[in-house]
Amino acid sequence: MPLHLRLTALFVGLATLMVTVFGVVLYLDGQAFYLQSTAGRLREQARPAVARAFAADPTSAADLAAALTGRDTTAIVFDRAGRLLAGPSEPRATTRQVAVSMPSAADGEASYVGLDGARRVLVVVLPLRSADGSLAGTLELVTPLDLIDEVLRRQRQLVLSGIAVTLVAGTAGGLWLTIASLAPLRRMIARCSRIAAGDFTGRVNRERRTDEVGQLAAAFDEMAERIEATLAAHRRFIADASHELRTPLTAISGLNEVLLRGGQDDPESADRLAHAMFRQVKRLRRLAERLLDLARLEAPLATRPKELDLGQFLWDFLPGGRAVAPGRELILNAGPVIVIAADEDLLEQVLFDLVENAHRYSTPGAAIELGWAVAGAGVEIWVADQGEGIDAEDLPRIVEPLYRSERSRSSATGGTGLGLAIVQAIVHAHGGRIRAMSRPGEGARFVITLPLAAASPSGAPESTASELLV
Amino acid sequence: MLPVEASDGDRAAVGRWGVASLRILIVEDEPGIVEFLRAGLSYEGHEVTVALDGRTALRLAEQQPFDLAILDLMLPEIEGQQVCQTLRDSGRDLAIIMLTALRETPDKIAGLDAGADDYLTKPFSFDELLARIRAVLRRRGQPLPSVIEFRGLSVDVDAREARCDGAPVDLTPTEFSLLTLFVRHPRRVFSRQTLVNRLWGFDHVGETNAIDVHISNLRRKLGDRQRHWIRTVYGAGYCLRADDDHRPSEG
Repeated sequence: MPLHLRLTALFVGLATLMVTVFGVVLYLDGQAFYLQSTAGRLREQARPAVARAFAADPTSAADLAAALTGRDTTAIVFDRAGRLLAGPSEPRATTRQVAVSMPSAADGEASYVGLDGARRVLVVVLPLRSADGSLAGTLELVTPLDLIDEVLRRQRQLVLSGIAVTLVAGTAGGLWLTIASLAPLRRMIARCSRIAAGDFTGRVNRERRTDEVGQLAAAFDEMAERIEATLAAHRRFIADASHELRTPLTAISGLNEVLLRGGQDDPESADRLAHAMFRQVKRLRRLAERLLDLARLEAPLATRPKELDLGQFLWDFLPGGRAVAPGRELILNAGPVIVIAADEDLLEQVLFDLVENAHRYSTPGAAIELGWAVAGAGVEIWVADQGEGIDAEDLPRIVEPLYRSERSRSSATGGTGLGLAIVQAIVHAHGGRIRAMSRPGEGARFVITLPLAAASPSGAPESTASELLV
Repeated sequence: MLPVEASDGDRAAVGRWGVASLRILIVEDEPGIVEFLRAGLSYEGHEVTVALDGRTALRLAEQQPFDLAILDLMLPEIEGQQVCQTLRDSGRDLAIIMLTALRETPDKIAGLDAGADDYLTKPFSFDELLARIRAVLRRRGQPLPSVIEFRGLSVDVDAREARCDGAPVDLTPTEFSLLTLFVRHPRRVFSRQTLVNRLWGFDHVGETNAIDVHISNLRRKLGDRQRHWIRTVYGAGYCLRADDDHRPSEG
């Protein structure tokens, strides 16, 4: 059973139950009130006559009956044994108690609803006493309930139509309300199956609602967008990777073909072709290794962080860093003494890649600077170079796998296009982030922000940012 | 050096043997691809010039005439498409074959619209490139001659006819392919393995001695006893030489 039908049924059922209970209670209460007040009125009217001593003879009984019989009240007098002493001139059907018996006002009094033929009548029974106070007879006051029954009938109709209106209006309104509120859910279902089929178009939270369903829809939209973005990034990565693989493959297959179709007959050309093939195979292998690195880093728990004195770590890194940037100065700008939690090997790889990147894309021979600083709850490690910098349009995409700015596409620079993507993956695995800042012509600066280890800062005084030349 | 006859641009020398040679400009920045294009096309007897970027390519095209340009789409400095457009706008009459790593149709359309005669998607086989070159030249009305001659020998590759001193020679397909190969590359020494590769494919497995049978049949049909067209180079292979040519075969 669909949710909107269930909700509507529940809602309409409860409303109808409440209207019914309320109507029945009102009806019964009204009926009791009308009967009791009528009985009370009759008793009060008869009280003076009844208070007098009753002689129990037909004459005084007739007088009494005549005195109390009115336009819609008939008085009947019985003696102590229940014989009729005085009553209406025409014989009438005996009244019998049918429904409501009301509490007696005093000893020996009673009142009930009886049937006089087909009419409902109220019968009030009052005791008649002789002068010495003993029971001498009974007086029955009978009044028809036509008016009260009419009022009650209308009340019954009102209650019934109230129930009917509740049913119809409740069902219609409930359906409308639930269908409208659950519309995003149905769109979510439809979109889920479209997404499963690979179609990411359309939004669920079209009305921009802020209720829970709206929040769910908004969260769903956001999730779908992120999945789409991730998928697009993966597709682009695969396209880029196959493009990067295709170039060495083309070269290898071409070299191989030329070698086989005759290049082999001349030792010198065979040697050249074989060496060219070797270089391409090496390049292919490096590309494959880097792709594997990247895939490994995307798996969770790839890092084994431990506490590192950042200054000492960077100092130790410098000789290795100089090796990947031959012919350049590496300048370390010391920041405060600080301990960070990081995977030593991975952080070293990050720095190697950033320095190699700076070496490859900056002015030849210009110095590369490294440094760190505390910023808020984290520590910033930066690598800066001098030279062309990065175009504004390339900046946001520079860390994407295999993305290379048009200028760096030339194979002369020899990068795999995966270095910065690996750097980013490592930094993310440490809960940090990486930013690239540059203005064309002023060099590029890569800033890694890592969260501080719990134990740091170690409270050592901030050393002046002395420049250490290496 | 490769045993290349035309590497020094001496087209007259090539023409003397009746082998059509083309002046080809390779515009490509990937060293591995440049290497095999240069080696392979030179081996085929063409005159090859290499430009590693678009600017150099345009400068070279201004300085000397080319019959064909093989142009990579993705180049440093100036994009391949731009180079193609510029070459066409300057009214240079040369065939252009684009190389692209992009499979997407819009790129191919853009390349063709920029004036390329054909395109090849990387990776491509070298034989396919040669076939495309022949097809492009045919379409441009400058087909490579179907009749190749060397001294008294002539091979019509389209009609699959061989003549020796004007008289038709009846050859099997294998013998015809062998003769074509020799006539296309006179004086080059082919090893048995290379001949097997060229005739029966690179993945052919078997004894290379089988080639000796075809060589001896070909010799017999050409009347080799008198003319000595096909010489055996001991320890190396076979080569085609006129009986009045006494230069050493190993270059």
